[in-house]
Amino acid sequence: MTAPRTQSGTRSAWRHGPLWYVGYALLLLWTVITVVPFVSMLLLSLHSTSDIYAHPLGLGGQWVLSNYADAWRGVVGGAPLSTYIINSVLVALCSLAIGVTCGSLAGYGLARATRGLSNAVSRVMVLALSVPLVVALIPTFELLGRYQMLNSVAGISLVYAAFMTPTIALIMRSVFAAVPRELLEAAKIDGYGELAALLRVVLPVSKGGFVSVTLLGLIFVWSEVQFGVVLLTRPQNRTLSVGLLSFQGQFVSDQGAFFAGLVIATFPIVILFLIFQRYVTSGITLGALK
Amino acid sequence: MTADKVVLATAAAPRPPRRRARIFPIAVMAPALVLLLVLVAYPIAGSVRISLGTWDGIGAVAYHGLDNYRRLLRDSLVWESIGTSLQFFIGTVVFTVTFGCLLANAISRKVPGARIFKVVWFLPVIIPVSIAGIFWSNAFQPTTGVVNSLLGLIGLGDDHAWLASSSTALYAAIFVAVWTQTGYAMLILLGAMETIPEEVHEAATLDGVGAAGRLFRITLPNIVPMLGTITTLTSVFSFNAFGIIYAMTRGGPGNSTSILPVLVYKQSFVDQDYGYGSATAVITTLIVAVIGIMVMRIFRQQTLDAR
Repeated sequence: MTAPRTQSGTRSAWRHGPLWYVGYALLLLWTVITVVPFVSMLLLSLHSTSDIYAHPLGLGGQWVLSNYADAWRGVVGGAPLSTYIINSVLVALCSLAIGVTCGSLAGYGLARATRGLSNAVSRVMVLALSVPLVVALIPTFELLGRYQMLNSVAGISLVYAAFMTPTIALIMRSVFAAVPRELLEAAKIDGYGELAALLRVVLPVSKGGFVSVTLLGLIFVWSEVQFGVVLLTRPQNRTLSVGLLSFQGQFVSDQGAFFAGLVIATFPIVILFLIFQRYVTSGITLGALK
Repeated sequence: MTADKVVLATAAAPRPPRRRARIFPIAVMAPALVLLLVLVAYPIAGSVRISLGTWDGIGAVAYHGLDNYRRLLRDSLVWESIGTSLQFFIGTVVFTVTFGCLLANAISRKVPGARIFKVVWFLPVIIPVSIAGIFWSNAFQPTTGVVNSLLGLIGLGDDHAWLASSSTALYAAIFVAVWTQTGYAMLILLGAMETIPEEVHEAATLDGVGAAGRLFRITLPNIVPMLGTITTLTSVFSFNAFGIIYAMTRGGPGNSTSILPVLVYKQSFVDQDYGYGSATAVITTLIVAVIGIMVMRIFRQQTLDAR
């Protein structure tokens, strides 16, 4: 049935139309804009400062590796980059364990609750989500200080977990809402209780959603600066994104080391993402459930 | 489902306790709500409290009612900052959601190289925003920056001081915000687009509907709920973009890129005026909450229509 009409040409005409090529060229342009910083920081990290000023694209001059040693040692008055990386990893693990668990459970509750309750709690979540981090800054500093949790992984992890929870809950609500009702009804017929149905039926088909919210939570934690600056005052406790802010000022005269620092901070998570990517690709596609 | 199957199903199921069905959703939402209560609601209340007085960061708050808010109303810096924030918000949301949608559509329509594009386009999202800000502020420097070097190569001049001019600095900041967020919007929207059965697209193609027609008549109506989610998330992001602005311009030149969180930071941690900073933070929160609710309202309404 499909074969003759497909060949009648709408599709192939569209594919080869001039508009299609214009659109595709724009996609390529966006790709270049996307990639430029990664390529550029890599190239520039391999040159001395004078070469960088002479060849801003990083394609001329001598190629050197010494910038990496300089960047790894960190700046005067700061901690070595390895310390920042370890701190970021610990904070990410703790906050994700708490945030993804609480957020996903809440998302499931939102998907399953009666319309009135779901709407009410959703509104609370949206409000919590709409809270600019800055409004909680000073009182949080006060609160964690009171319980000796400043400069601690536990303290900042709890804060990050709390702020990622609404995002995760709302995304997981959409993920869970896409689970066919028939699947839940079938689980009930098989004698599963609510919790068993969640764990054995809903979770396996929602794996992709979990990977994506975990990834998104990780990105939030890895990037966060505002709380980090205030709650992690000692250099040896700082996360990567916070520690790197001091790079900017102190490596003004050493551009090569500056870019090497950016590369060291950026590429581990790029590699991590490329590993995660498989899961995201297969998982986020809820279409598999149809 | 036929009628006798329904009867069979009801008979086979262990009678579901109705109360348990109602309590279960509440029980699973409880941990998140406790977390939010202690670490979001309580600090917000704290900010409101501090905003009603003067605080130096150590001693007790010296309360004097709404003085800080009266001062805010007369402070041209605050009004300027609200305007800047709204410009930054609108620019960031419009471009991020539009680009994210078009890119996701390209991937879901399987353009050549779609699988690679999907990975590459998401890359900016995983860079810490502070690093993105640091990198781009360097790239926007006249003559020595990558952006100007590339513009020079194609004959557009390499001496634009993007960040030193108050007329272009905000646009540069919006560009970086869009650069960091578009991949995120794309991924979320793509997840929604891929739930649309391929047959629907095939049928439309057979009926002679072009690519644009399918985007507007099939794809968009089906992803409205996710559009709502991503618009909300991007809006909030634009009011949390402290990291980008701080790394790029510290709010300058002058106050041309001082979005509200940057202003709060200056008032609190530079001027040590925590009470006044808290008042600005409370106003910021109200603005963001209004925007968030508006966005959810708009999209929730359409969600009901779509279903």
